[in-house]
Amino acid sequence: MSFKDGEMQTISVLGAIVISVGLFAPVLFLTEKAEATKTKFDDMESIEASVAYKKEKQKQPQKQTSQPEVKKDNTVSHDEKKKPLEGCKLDSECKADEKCKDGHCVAKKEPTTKPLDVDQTLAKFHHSDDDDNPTGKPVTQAGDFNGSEEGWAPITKGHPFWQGFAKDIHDNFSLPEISQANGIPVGCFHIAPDGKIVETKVKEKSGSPDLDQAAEHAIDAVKKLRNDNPTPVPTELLGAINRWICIRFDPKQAS
Amino acid sequence: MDMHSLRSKTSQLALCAFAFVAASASAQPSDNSGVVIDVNGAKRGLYPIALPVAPEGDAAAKEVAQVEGSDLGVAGVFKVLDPTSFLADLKTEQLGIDPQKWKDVGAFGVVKYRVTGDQIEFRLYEVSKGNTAALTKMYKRSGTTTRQIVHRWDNEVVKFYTNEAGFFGSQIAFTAKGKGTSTIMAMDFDGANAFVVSHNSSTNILPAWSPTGGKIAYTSFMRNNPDLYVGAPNGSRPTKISGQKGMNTGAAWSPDGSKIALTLSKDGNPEIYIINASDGSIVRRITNDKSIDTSPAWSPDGSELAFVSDRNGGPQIFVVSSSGGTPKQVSFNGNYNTTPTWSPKAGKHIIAYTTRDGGTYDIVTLDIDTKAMTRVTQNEGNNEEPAFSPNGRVIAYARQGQGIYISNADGSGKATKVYSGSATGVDWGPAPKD
Repeated sequence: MSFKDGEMQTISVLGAIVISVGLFAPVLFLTEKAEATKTKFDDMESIEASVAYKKEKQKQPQKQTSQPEVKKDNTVSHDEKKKPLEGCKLDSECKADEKCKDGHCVAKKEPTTKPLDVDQTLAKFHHSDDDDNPTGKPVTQAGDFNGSEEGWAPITKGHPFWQGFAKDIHDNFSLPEISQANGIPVGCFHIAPDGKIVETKVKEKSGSPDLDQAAEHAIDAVKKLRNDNPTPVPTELLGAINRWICIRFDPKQAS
Repeated sequence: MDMHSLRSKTSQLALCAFAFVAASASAQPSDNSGVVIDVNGAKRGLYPIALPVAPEGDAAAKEVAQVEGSDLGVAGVFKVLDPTSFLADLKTEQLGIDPQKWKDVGAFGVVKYRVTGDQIEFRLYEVSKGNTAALTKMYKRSGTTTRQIVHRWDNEVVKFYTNEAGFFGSQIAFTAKGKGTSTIMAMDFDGANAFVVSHNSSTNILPAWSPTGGKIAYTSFMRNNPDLYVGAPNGSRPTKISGQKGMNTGAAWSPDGSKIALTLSKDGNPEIYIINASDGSIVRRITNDKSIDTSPAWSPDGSELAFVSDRNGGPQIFVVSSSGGTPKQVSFNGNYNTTPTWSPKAGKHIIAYTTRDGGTYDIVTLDIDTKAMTRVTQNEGNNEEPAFSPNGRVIAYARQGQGIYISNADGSGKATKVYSGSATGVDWGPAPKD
């Protein structure tokens, strides 16, 4: 097989182009890749350098001059077992027996029967000589102090008044380092609507005499503090202070 | 429906309502009973103790109160209450207490005493346990001083609360600097009864108590070379124990008193050696490095030595086995750490040393196991050369140009000055024998 001059030239040019592409394309491709790779290596080097730079020598210790600040969060009791409501947008995001309402999963099951209206039912049986006097308003008014009951947990949850009260107690709850601290004493306050402390009592002793004394000291100190500078009980808490407000003096830090 | 059946139904409904309310209440017992507020974490601090002056009020009674207040005030355990706050009628109480009166002033403990012609009676009360004394002691006054009696009682008080021996009655040795002289001196830990140990006009430095307190080793230039001498604290003629060419400095007695670790430069470079305390013969060479190694200090069990070396740059604290081996650097704060000393607390690996922070020198402690550091001095001048009290609760140190101070080893409280004057090379002697 033979080629003419023109054909040979065309084939030569095409061959040169193919060879050139075959040679330069991998070079270009590898160069780009190398560029990219180089940048990554550079980053890694700078990261290593930066880590090495940040490793400082141990700093000089500073002398402790004051007690650490007390966190308010753990001082007032709250319901640890209560589960948060699960958020939702669609019914399908809830369990089979739940539906999505106002952004939360709630039980599908609606009450099938109306709740019993005791007043209405009893009215049918009203007798003219029955004693129908109201029994009191326990919500926003302070009733007579009822020393037989202690505490009202729901109303104390996270309220600033009780948090301030707890902080005052914590500030005065001091126990010598060398003293035993087993058990948890409980002390209670009878608080008047004007915020003054009417009466206190130690409800339970811990069995560690110094710890009990520390709790008593804190109770007495807070009584004096609050009586010298009373903080009136907020209206919404007035219903709580007809009971003893009791404090658990746990000498150990909350975990 | 007749009247009878209507009343009967009313009663049934009322019963149902009552049962409903009762059931609701029993389902949430925590809402209506018990505790409301939890207060967690009592502040932990010093033990408030009241030390009222005995009502007799004579000189001996006042001395008892003064020494007792001084002792317990620096014990590292107690907060001595201000006597002006006391509410109790001391004349009525005599040796007893009215617990409520002492509770009202915040006292947890009260010490009462009575001084008579031939004895002193002490009573310790724990206020929370009522008016029965928790500890009672009587001491004869003959053959001893009131000060010594009070120290003995105060050691009993410390032991009662902490189960540790107190350090009252122990002594501190130091180098007192005069014009062109350096004299070894010793005194009671509270600065009382200071006396001279080295009776020569040369330069004497770096005293070290033997474990029993019967001897003091120190370096003296009295033969023109810094040689190591051992003498009795009473100032009797000392014996040269190590006279190697060059430095014989920084002596530290082993816990059993049989050996002394020190720095020798007999071969040109300062290295740590252990010698026999009896004759100064070399037991072994501990370090062998071209750097400067100085200031050895024995661990309480005698198994390790802490010392200073600049082998890694600036002076830092290293620890090495007392039988030799490779030293391990333990201080890493700053670039200048010197004069280590071990806490005598059993089971602990705590050292105190001098550190330079900026332009000033301060005392810090380091728990070698946990790496926890505590600052003992700060913004109180230049403080150097710490020495632990025999129970490890307190540290004595020299404050440049001012004297000797003692502070709680945990960094709490204020420093107490026990010696005024230029002093260095502080070393705290052993607990007094009782």
